[in-house]
Amino acid sequence: MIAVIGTFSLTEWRALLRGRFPFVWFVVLPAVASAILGPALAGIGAGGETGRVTIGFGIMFCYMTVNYVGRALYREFDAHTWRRTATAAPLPSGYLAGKCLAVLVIGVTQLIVFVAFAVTVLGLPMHAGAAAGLAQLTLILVPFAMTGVAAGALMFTLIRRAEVFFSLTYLILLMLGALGGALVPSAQLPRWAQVLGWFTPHYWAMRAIDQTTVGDGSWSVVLGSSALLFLFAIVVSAIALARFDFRKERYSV
Amino acid sequence: MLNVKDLDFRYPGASAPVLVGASLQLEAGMVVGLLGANGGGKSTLLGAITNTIEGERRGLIEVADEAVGPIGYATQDVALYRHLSVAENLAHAARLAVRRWRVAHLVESAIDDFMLAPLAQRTARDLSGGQQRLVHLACAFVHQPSIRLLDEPTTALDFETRQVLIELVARWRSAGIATLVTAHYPEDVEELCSTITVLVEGTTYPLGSLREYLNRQSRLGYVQRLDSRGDVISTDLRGPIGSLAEIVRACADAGLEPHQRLHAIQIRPPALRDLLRRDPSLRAAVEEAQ
Repeated sequence: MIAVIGTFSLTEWRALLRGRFPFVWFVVLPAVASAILGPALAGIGAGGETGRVTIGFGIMFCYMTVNYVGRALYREFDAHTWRRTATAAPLPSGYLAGKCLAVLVIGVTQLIVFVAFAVTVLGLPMHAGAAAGLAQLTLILVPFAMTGVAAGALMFTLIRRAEVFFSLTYLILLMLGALGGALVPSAQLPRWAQVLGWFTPHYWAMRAIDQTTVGDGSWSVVLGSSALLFLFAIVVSAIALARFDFRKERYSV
Repeated sequence: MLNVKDLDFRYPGASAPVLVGASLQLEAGMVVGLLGANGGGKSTLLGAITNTIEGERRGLIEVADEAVGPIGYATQDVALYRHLSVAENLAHAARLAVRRWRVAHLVESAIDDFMLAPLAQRTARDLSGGQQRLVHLACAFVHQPSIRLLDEPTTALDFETRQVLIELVARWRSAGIATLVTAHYPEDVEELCSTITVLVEGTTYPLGSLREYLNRQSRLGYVQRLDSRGDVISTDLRGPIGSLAEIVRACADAGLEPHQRLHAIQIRPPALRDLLRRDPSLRAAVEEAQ
């Protein structure tokens, strides 16, 4: 199991590090978007709002993990290595974990960079305090990134064609980001959008982050949101694992 | 080493099965050539043996206890991670099949066996087609399995790479490795295989020793004649063609008149369609299947 995870995560690390696009998608694009749109979107509240918008863009673009998990899995079909891998019959759980691990680390790192930038440079307050804030953010950011990775794995088991998969990932990135209050605070959205937003991981992540930063640092809100995010990630991962079958053919772009 | 008996396979939603009672046996040191037309089920048979394709599979697939490692399967398409170097591709493939402490040794062995030393640090995407196919084979068999399946390995091979492949398969044969090679044409497997099986409409027909079979079939000839009006008439000749006298006799047997001008004589190795056409048992099988 450990060997399988190590084998695939090493190969995926190499793919991510040797490509330039992950850096663009995860860091450059949200940074540019928040630099352009941040001040406008932030003009609606108190100090530190620009930092909140920056984190929002980080949260939204963190869902490029869905896309990158797809890239990792469809790569096997693009490279025609799928059947050789299937012949070796690695444990599906180890295989999926190995494929997703590198993307998960990238996603968490991206979130940490954006939160750190928002707090240290843009003046986003940390009302929970430094130590408690760090612990709370860890409890939020890690499971949130896990939800994206799990969603990518599940989508892979449902969608045969890579072009359909990748088209949907951009739609998901925008829709969930908007509905979940990552672009503008949930309270500013129409009522129906607020209700839909409750069903997105983004809403719970932003709710907990708001609590840690501009809120009163309540542990109950953070723990509740974190538990929901973990639950979402675990349930979606379990469904993906149950559906995963090495014999099912997929079609790369 | 590998025993496949009465194997049926049907893809999901397909009305007819692709494989119907397919059987074959691979013993240690045996190189079996599996010949069949495009879409005849060769790749499906390999996929069904390795259980890597989705569908309804019935029949017996037995792998002997003494078989080493997972079956090695070199697919028809070159299977390489293009962003990895040759050595990294090999290490990845090895790690899937063996314990970590053996990986470095196996990668070194594969680099030696497949003569990849000059390419080891090059990225797969930078290699030529022939080099990629060689690395692909090396990755498929890096864990040194005792059963090796090669799906149309001669496709798009340049002369040099083909020679390397022929030498490798000969070495595997003497090392007691059981090998199955699929191909469209007999000439593709002639230099590789010891025995031959034909796959017709999903059913296998073992033809025994390839050399003996081809010797029998090499009596086929092909003559093109040009008559006085300039019309080109092609005639298939039967009978032994090993000397000029035999060609003259064969021309007469085919109904060629002495005054007709002979334009060209071409004696070619038999193609799969010739084998199928001439072999009475196979012909009957094809007709029955149709």
